[in-house]
Amino acid sequence: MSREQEWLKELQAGKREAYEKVYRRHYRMVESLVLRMGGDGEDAQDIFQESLFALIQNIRKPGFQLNGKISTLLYAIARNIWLKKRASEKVKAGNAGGLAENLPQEGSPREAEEREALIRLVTKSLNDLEEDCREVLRYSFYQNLPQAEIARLMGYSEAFVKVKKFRCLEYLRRIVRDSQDRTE
Amino acid sequence: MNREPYIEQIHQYLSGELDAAARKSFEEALEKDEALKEAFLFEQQLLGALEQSFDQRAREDISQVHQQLRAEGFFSASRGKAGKLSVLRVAAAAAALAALCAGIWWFALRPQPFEPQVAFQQHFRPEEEQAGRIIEGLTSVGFAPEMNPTDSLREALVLYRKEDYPAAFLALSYFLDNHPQNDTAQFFLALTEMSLSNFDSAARLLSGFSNPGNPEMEKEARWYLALCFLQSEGRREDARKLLETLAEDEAFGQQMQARELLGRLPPKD
Repeated sequence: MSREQEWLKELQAGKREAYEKVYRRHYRMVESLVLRMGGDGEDAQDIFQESLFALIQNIRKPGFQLNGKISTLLYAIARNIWLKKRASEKVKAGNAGGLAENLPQEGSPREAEEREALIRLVTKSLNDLEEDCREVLRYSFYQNLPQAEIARLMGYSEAFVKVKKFRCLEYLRRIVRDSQDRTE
Repeated sequence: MNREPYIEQIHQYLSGELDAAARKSFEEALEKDEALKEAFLFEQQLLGALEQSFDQRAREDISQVHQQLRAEGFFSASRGKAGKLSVLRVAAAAAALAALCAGIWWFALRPQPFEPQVAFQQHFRPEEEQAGRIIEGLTSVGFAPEMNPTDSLREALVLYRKEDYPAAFLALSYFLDNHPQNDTAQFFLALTEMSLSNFDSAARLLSGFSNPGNPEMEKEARWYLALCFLQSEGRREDARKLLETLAEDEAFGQQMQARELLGRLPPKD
């Protein structure tokens, strides 16, 4: 496995150390880009945070294949985010008062509130789970890693991962169902 | 209600693992089977909330790394707003301040520890003006049914000049596949790699660079190779050797920069 692929695996596993490595290796590259394109140091830091988050979103998509290098992908993301940011600032300035205020919201306010409440409940329940459970859920449903890779990362057998995943998700299901039953 | 029999299929559907036929049959079942539909909506909500929750965690992790680096002073080594100024203005301001700063530095301040990334930022120039001159020199034949080599190289350099380095990388690599001896494409591909922090790849391109017809470009290639070596572990002495040659070369346009950088390198181990 190449160094680049190893690093990609670390990022896909959502390791904080891998995030730090991206900062140390590639922050200056993104900073130079933003400064050259008319931004300042604060813009560069914001763009880098957004770009790193977008990179994580990209590489966790099922079937993601890295063609080239992580830095090239990060640069392309950062450049797009910066150009979009500049374009939206221009639109806002041009509209003085803002079209954005009239943009339709997804769902009714009540639905949005319910969604937020569910996310809070799931977040709290995740915090109550044991570390292993949280990890197996993250690897399975967020990082979208195959079962064999999860087993390798956690040092378990694939069969054990499958059972653990089912049990941990069932625990969350029960909490959410109980909460929904109480509100009905 | 026992939802267990449905769960695996629902997860496969939600993660896009089902093929077209299985997907269609699942959607038909959803229309007919109320219990399946209820289980599906529940799982969709649950997995959606799980994803959002982990999104928040990822953002928090990034933010914590950011704060930790800020506390270390990682961002204070940045160039601030310098990038907004034109090269000429920077050069003029730098020249005006140089005499004053040199005196202060010499008598009052100790040299800062050598930081390869900061040195790179200070000395790496992507040669956009040179790219512009080359673009102007590449005359298009215009309206040809297929793109000719001149057009392809020009297009790649235009992308480079726009700082769209990922696209320039693809265009220059493609051009070099068909014209492996083209030193201009090789030189700018190396600079593209450097702009994308891919120093090992850039060093490979620059190590073999040769252009007898353009000695200045050859020297520039050695200068950029030295900058690449400074970013790589264990190559500092290779960088020093290159810089020593360039610092002695009166005909090299960046001789002063080479001298300055050489002076800042820590002594040999």
